[in-house]
Amino acid sequence: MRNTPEAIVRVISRVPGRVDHADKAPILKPVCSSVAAAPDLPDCRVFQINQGVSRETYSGFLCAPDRRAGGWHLLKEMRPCDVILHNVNAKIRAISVVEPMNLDDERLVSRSNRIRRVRRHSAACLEYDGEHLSIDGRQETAFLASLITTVITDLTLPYARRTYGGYAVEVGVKDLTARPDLADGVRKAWVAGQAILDGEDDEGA
Amino acid sequence: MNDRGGSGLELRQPAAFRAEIPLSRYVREELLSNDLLIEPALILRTQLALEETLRETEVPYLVRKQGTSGPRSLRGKETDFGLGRPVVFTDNSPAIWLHQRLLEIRRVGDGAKFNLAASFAQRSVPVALAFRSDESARSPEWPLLRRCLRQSAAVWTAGWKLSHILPCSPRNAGTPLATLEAQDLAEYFRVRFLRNLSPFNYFLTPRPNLYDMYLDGVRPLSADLGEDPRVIAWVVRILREETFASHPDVRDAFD
Repeated sequence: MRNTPEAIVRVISRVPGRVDHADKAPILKPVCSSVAAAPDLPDCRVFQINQGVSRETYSGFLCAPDRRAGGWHLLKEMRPCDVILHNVNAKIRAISVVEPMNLDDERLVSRSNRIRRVRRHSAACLEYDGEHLSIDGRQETAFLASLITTVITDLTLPYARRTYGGYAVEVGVKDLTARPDLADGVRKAWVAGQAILDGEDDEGA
Repeated sequence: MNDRGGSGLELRQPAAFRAEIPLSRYVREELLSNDLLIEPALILRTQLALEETLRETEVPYLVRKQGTSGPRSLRGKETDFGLGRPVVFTDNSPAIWLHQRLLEIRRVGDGAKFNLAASFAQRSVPVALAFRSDESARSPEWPLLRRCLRQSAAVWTAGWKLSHILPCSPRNAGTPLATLEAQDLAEYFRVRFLRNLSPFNYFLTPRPNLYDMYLDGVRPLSADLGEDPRVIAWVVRILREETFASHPDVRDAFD
C-alpha cells in the first residue's frame, strides 16, 4: 500500500449549473454538445424531430428504435441543453430542451414495465431493451430514449429542414442563421432550459 | 427523526475542475472530505450492528445482484438457497439508504437512534431503485428505495454515486469470493451481505452520467472513478492511515 500509484485527475461537469470549486480550479463553462455557434446562437446542437407534438412530447421524452435509420441514432448524440424543434406537418409547433438522463426520473420509473433491460446510459440517452415507451405493439426490442422539457408551445413556424420521412435531423448553424424566427426560438428555449436545469440543481432534484 | 428518513438532507455537489489535480489530493480533499464521511465511531457501530442483525436467522442476506439476466439478477424476491434464511438480490439501494440514514444521524447528533434490526424485521430496507417488469411479476417482498426514503436519495441528487471498495459480487473465477462460494455457501452470502451494506466498504464518487472523469488524461474503467483500482487504492490508504489513524479500534475493524 505504500507504493500506491499517483495519477492526475480531472473532473468535468456535463451539466450546466453544477458547482465548480474556484479554489481548486478555474470556473468551468457549462458543457453542452458543441457546434461553432454563430453570433447570438447558444452553444448547443439543435435537432428537428419530425414526430411533432405528440403524447410523447407532452410526456417529456423522446423514444426511437436503436437502429441506424431515419435519424433515430441522433438520440445517442444529444446532450443536456440541446434544443429540439418539434415538426408537425411541416410546421414547428413546439420547442424543447434535452435534460440530463436520470434513471430515477418518474417518467422512466412509471414506465419501467416497458424497460426490460437497461443496456447503458449516457449524459442524455438511455439505451434499453423492451417496448417503446409510448407506442404499443412495436416489435423492436432495442430502443433509445431521452428526457426533454417542452418550453415553448403553440408555435406555427415553417419547418427548419425539409425531410422526407425521417424521424430526426440536425439543424445546422447555416439553417438557423437564415431563419431568425427559429434562431430566436432556439435562443429562448436554451435560456429557459438553463434556468430549468439551474432550478433543478437548486432544489437538489 | 423517524425510521423512514425524508428529513430533507442535502449534500454538496462534486467538484468539477479542468485543472489537473494529484489523485492523492483529490481523494483526500474531495472524496473523503468530512462532509461526505460518516464519523469513524459510527461506522464501527454500524458494522457491529450489521453483524449483530445477522444473528437473527430470519434476516435475509441482502446481496448485490449478479449480471443482467438469470435468477441472480432478479431483485426484491426472497430466494431459498437452503441456508436456513433467504437471500434477496439487490442493487446499491440498501447501501445508499444506509448511508443516508447515517448522514442524518450525524446531522441530528448523537442522541438520534437508528434501529437497524427493526428495519430488517419490518422489511423496510430498500433493495432496488426500480423493479423491472419481470421482477415486479414475482411479487417482491422487499421495497423500493423511494418508498423507504420518501424522497430522492441525497447522494444521487447531489451528483454522487456509491462505490464499493471490495467487490460485492464475484467477478471472475479464482477470486477469493468465487472460491468461497464453492467452499462455504453460507459464509459466501454473509460476506457478500456485509460487503454490500458495510459503511467500511464504500465511498462516494461523482456520477458518471453527470461528470466526465479522467485519470492521466484517460477515461477510467467504466468512465467511473469509483471503479478504478488506483482510486480505490488511495481511498483504502487514506482511510487507514489518516481517517482511522486516531481510532485504532475502527482501523482494526477496517483491516
